[in-house]
Amino acid sequence: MMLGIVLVVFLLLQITPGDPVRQIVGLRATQEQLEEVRAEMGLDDHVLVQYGRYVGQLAQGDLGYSYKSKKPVTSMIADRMVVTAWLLTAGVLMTLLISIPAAIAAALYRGKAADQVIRGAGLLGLSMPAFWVGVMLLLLVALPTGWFPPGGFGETFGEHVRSIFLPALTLAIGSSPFIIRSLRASTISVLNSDYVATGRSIGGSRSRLVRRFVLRNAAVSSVTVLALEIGFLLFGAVVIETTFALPGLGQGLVLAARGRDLPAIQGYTLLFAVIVVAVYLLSDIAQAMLDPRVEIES
Amino acid sequence: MSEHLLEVSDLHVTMQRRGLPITPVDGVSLTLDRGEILGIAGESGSGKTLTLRSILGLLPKGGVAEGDLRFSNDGGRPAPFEPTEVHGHGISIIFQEPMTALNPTMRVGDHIAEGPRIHQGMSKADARTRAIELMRLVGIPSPERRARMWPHQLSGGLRQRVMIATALSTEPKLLLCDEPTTALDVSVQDQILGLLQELRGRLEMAIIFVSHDIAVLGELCDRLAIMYAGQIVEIGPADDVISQPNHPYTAALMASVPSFQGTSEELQGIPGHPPDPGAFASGCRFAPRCAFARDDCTQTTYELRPTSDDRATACIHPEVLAQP
Amino acid sequence: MTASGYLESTSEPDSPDPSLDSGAIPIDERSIWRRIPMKGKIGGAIVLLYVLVALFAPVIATHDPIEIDPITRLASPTAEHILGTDELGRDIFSRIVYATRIDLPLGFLGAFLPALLGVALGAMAGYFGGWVDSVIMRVSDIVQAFPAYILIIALVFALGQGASSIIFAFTILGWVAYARLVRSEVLRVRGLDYVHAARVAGLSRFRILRVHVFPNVISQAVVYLPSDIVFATLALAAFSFLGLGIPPPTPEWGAMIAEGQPFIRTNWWFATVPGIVIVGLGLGMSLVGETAEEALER
Repeated sequence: MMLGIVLVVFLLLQITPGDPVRQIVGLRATQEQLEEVRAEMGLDDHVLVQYGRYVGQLAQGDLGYSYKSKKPVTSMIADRMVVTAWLLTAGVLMTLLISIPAAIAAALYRGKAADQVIRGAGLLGLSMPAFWVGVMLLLLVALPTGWFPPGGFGETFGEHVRSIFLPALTLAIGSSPFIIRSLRASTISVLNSDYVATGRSIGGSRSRLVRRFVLRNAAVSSVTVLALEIGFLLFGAVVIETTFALPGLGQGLVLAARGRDLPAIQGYTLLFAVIVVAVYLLSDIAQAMLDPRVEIES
Repeated sequence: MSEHLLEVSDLHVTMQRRGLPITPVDGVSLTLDRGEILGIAGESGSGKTLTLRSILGLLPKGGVAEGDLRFSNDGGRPAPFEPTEVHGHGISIIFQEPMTALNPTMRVGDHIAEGPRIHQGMSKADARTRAIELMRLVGIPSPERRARMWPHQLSGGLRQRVMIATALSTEPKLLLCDEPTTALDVSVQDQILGLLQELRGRLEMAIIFVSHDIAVLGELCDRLAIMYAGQIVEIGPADDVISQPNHPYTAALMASVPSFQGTSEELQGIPGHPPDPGAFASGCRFAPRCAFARDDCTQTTYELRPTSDDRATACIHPEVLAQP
Repeated sequence: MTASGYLESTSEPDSPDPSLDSGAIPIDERSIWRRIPMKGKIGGAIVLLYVLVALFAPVIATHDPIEIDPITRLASPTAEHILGTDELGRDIFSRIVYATRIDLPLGFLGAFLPALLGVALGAMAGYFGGWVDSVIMRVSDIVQAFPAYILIIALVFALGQGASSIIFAFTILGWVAYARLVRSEVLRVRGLDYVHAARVAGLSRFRILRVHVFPNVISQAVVYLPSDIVFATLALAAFSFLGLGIPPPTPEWGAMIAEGQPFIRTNWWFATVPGIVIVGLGLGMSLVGETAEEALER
């Protein structure tokens, strides 16, 4: 699985038009200088040899050097990872804060006004581009109130929190409709189940019924959907980091792509793929924790 | 103690089927005394389960129950009630499939403790002790260990016992049983039936037991109601109804049960199909399939007519069954 | 990816589907019109409006969308420029109008081509089975494991910026959900009696596929097209916003939002209006999609 991702990322280098060496040495370099650097980088070798070397370097945690900054890609990534981790964590938290109450309300009042409003809002959320939502939040919230910086990540913890709030909200607005949709559907099927009928017959308040009999069961099926959304969330992070000038992985990827910095692109892409795989794994673990019927395979 | 425990009069359940209303329960009336076991028999689709679920307001989405339901928890006159008022206060229910009726993400001990915690305000520890007592009461071996297990780790019979313990946890005066033995092996079935009968005696609890299995009902019940196409067609003491049916449908039903017939050669199915609940014809609903139907059978309106002190039938010509 | 979450959950290979034979019932067209719910009509009208704007862009626009006017830069709305001008003095209204000719067809293609490829591959996998099936499904597993949009950035980088690169990247990464849907549908339909009957009657495999399997399968796939058009439109706008999509000076909504973002303090309408235009199209399409989905469920 991971090897397949590595292969695809490596192949990027092969199908990319243009000469990466020319890019490094500049247009004024002579043909000899060009050949020298090419040999130095090992680009003369057979493709398979290059691939072997690439995998070997990866195994040692070496992602190569940026064409642009000449710094090791690993160190560029490490700095940016913190910002993206903040954004994704805060974004997922806000998504859950919005989605869980909304989905449960929509399911409980299925077909009634609350449900219609929530579904309508979901439709609107699906139709709004995340970067535009970000710009609108800047325009309508950040500028009038002055509570949130228009961009950047700040230096202190407090600044981080203020910097991440609107980007995380933007992410949540984009991803909540999917989660609400799936959680609403699973909640409805749980509400129609026999065991909720049992729970009803025992008595007690409706909120206790929802907490004890509905929530965990509905979450079991939605965890997978949330995990499947990670690809969408990562793309959201790319767009939102660019909108809010957050120095995270996504912004790094966009800058690398604009600057045609191939090793950096490879590094970022690989890292994003690793994050996706890690999240799938996490969701399996979360599912096993939520659902006693699922055993974790060792 | 002469007052009834439960009175149901003229119960109707309407539901939506592809946007059109249907009435799968159409005018059911019955009464139940304290400590009595009433069986309701019928084919699938006869409305017996919906009748049962109406009492606790547990109809499927879109189902609406109308009618006069009265219940007396304290021995006084039965009074009208909202379903939520009797949840955990006097009426409990157990279902056909104990696997789907137990919350899969709740340990069985917590499941049983839920009622005492809500209604008796017990602490977690007290409720746990009570749950283990109840598990012992319903005959679950080594309850301390099993209380910590998940429903999927138990056998079908034990699950149904857990379900019964859950139902008993709120000390009900009436236990509603929706085919609780159908999904179980025959030997386990007998154990559960024995348990219910024993509990009825020990706890002075009335039971309404819904099943399509006449043999089970005959073994367990004091009285028996037969349902067909959303209506009760006959009601009376279980032994009498089984040995001397007063309605041709009951008779036909008995004829189709192997254990009431000498040999399998005599076993008969009933020709035709039950009517569609979206389009009931006027007159007796069994008339089109009835071997004894006469012209006036399609003219009559539904009414349960007493034939003796404790029996009633909807058939206007019950005498046809008396002939050899 | 985003759409696949609910795509996959819809079809169980064995479940009987009453909608299968509904195609045989002749319905006159007026009753179809009456049976379309209000939201379907509204959605259809919105989409039609955008199509008309795209078709008649030269008539509707008041200025040449790429003509630079150094004198009236960043103008506020006037009778001459009803939405003002951008940094280069171009008329914003006219650019929004002309951008319809980019975003609408590309959004459609970005959903339609993956659907076409997916339906074709899914039908092949389902009908021929054997190694054809295993190869196609294995490839789809790999594609699905990737964070698709991140990979699109890398692919667009490798293939060079521009509309054709984006559409190509969409197509080779977006077919999976359709292929799985159609494959399971084909497997189901293949098991039905009338296909066996057709086989006994000596029809060729391809003809069976075309006459008996395809019409049943296609209605399922078509239902997901509108929501995928929304995704494709939003993604295209996002890539252009990131500076990785449609290159300037071609007018494109996402790119216009990026151009307008630096000026939200003074010229708030610059970044706001193109976003509203995207949301409008997204809502219209979503309404059409929901209507189609509900129609199929019935």
